Amino acid sequence: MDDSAKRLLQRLVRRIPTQMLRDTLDKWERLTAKQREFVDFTQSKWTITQELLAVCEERELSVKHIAELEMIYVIGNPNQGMWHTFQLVDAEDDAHSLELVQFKEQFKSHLSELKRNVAVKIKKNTDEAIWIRIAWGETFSRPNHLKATYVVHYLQTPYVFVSGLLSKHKPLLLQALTLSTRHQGIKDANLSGQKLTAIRDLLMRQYQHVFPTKYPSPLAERNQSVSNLHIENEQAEASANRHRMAGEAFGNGMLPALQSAVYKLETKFRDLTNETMTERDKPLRCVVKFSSPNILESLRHCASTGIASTPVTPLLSSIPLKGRNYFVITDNAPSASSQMCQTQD
Amino acid sequence: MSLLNPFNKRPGLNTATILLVENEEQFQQSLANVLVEETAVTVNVRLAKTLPLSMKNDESRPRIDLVVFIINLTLDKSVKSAKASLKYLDPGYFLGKVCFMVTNARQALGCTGRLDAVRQLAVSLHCPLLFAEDQ
Repeated sequence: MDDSAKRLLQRLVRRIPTQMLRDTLDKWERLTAKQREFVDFTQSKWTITQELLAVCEERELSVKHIAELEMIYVIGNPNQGMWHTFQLVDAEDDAHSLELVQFKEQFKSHLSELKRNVAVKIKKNTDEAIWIRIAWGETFSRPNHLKATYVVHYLQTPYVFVSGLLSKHKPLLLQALTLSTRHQGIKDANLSGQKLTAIRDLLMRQYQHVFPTKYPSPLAERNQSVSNLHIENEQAEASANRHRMAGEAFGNGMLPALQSAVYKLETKFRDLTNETMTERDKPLRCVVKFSSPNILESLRHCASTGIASTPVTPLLSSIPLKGRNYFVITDNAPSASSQMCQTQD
Repeated sequence: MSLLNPFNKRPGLNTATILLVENEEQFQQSLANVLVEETAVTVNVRLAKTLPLSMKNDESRPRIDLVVFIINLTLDKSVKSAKASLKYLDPGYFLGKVCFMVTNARQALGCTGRLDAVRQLAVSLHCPLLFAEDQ
């Protein structure tokens, strides 16, 4: 086993919690049952590393195999690191009938044309997602497996999720993706987050929607949710309306656990009590960031309890509607990446 | 006339109606459940978020004997909303038919300013101030 393989293995053992390490090694299937039993998982990580190194040497495993192990771990635990989303645009005619084998071949060949010395591993997951692991190398150096880029793409959808990409490799990866998926362009989808499952569910709209209807219930039934006849809610209708509008904007039930939303404001300062600032011509630049363990739930709660006014402002409802969490707001009429500014108190 | 009036309706026999006004609409539900358990008299409870109450229910609404403003001391909006709702009560209510109930006072020990403001409000209106916790 060469040096880079050893270092990658050491890194992995340090990174993966011991319990998960055992499961990941089982899934990897590169070690025999006897070898797996040989490794004592109750020991310290250092001992485990040494034992694993010994066992991998026996099997004569190379860095490619260890990279496989890393990939299995990342696929099983995708909610780490920072994922960024890109959207493919202008599909060509045969984009919709693209098949896995064709995509794999094309991607590998395009990427190696653009850059020598890249190690690419493509794997299809059970949920139809294609996972790509890329280790980048320079013209005269081997691929660096310690800093691999991961790409997740669902065939026949325009979305690509990327993690661990350096800016110097970005144009190469995007070009290879565009060509191999038979599209003419790719752009930033302005959606990023730590939890891949959350941003994927948000974009693919995998949560319970509430569709606006003119007559919410077929009969004007008295829904006695309050069991006691002596208790009556005076403003039940207003409360029900708020709940309904909040649900229409954000959805019902469990919402994807998006964790932040960023608004970059380039609007003029507006405050009637502060004349010196309002007189300035140039826009006041500031960034507003919302963070929460589940920001969509928090916003929905704000709307249904009346903290945020209903109907929900498009600034907030665009997060699930357009599937993005980075907005640039200017004073002009809405364009592709900006929205009308509203004064709110 | 959107003022809530204490004397423009006939009282019920052996019945009392309490109006709980709370911006967050949380504590009032559990308080209402406990209040209606009273057996000596019939207690009706009406829940609201703010005043004024809508005119639609005016006819069917019984006479409100007591208005309780539930204020969550940890939220500024709660205090503001209660103050704004006071305007919609007929002055007749302030002769012993209004009470302030404050929740989460232990958690809000840091911001004594808000508690002092509520205290001042209660004193200036000659209304009792009660402290409660939802457990």
